[in-house]
Amino acid sequence: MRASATQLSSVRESVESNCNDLADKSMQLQRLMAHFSSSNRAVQGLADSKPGQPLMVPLTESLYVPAKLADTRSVLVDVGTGYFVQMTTDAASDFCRRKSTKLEDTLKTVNQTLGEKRRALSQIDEVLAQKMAAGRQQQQQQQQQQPQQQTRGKSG
Amino acid sequence: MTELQRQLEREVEAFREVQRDMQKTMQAKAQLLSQSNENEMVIEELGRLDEDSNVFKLIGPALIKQARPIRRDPSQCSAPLPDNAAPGRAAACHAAVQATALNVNADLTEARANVNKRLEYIRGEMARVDAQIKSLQDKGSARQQEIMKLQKRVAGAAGGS
Repeated sequence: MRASATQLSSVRESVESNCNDLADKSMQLQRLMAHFSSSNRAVQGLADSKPGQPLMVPLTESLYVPAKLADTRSVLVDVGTGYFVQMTTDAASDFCRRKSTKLEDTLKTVNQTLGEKRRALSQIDEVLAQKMAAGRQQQQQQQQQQPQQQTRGKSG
Repeated sequence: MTELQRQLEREVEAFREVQRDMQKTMQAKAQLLSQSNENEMVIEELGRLDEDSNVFKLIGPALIKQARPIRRDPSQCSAPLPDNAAPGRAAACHAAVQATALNVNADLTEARANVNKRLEYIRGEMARVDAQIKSLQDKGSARQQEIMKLQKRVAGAAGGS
């Protein structure tokens, strides 16, 4: 069965919203990956510094208090659902890397699906354009035929 | 408006209602899925940890260290006991020491058990929601068929008149 233009455009709408959702998800995943890699950098930075190193700790956005690093070997990692685990900097950095790789895998699948959806969308657009053109042609033919019939009616 | 048309309208309204319910249930399912994913991730992380890792739980704004009983040395336990203490008390002390020895690292084990329990609950909920979706689908397709039948009858009545 051939889909009508209205059916096709409703399919197009759903595929398009699908596409937008996936693009949003892809952006989100990229942001999260950046988040983990910046966490990783922070952990590495902590591991490279020495205990007793002075630093300013933000209490609010504009208020900083001087402090000294007491521990550069262990950090507290949020593993989700309210659980935090004390890890060595190496383990924490490994954690970040693992999460990043996982996100990368997901990102790849999401991007692949997104590509497929976009291709489907452009295909639908093509068919839709063809249908529109065919419809216009038909209309024009009808309009051309009508005056002829009228003139024929007059002469007859 | 004929009785047939009114009936058709009622059917269509009922069908829309089913679709609305379906949407709600789907949202619930999506939420459960994301929760189960998060819990799976946590259980995986907890599984990777050394047995003596410190685990904290976020309760309100505070991080609470998961209770870990201190491993007590049996010799320390028996030391303050006077020589003339009742043998029953010594036995009780020994039992307590064994219990704490069993409970060592209860923090991590408890955290794992907690997350597992949560996962189990979420899976149960998921099964419930899936069943709900199934029944809504059945209801929806039944309504749809009813609507199609009515539409045919309406068209037939219009053609006949």
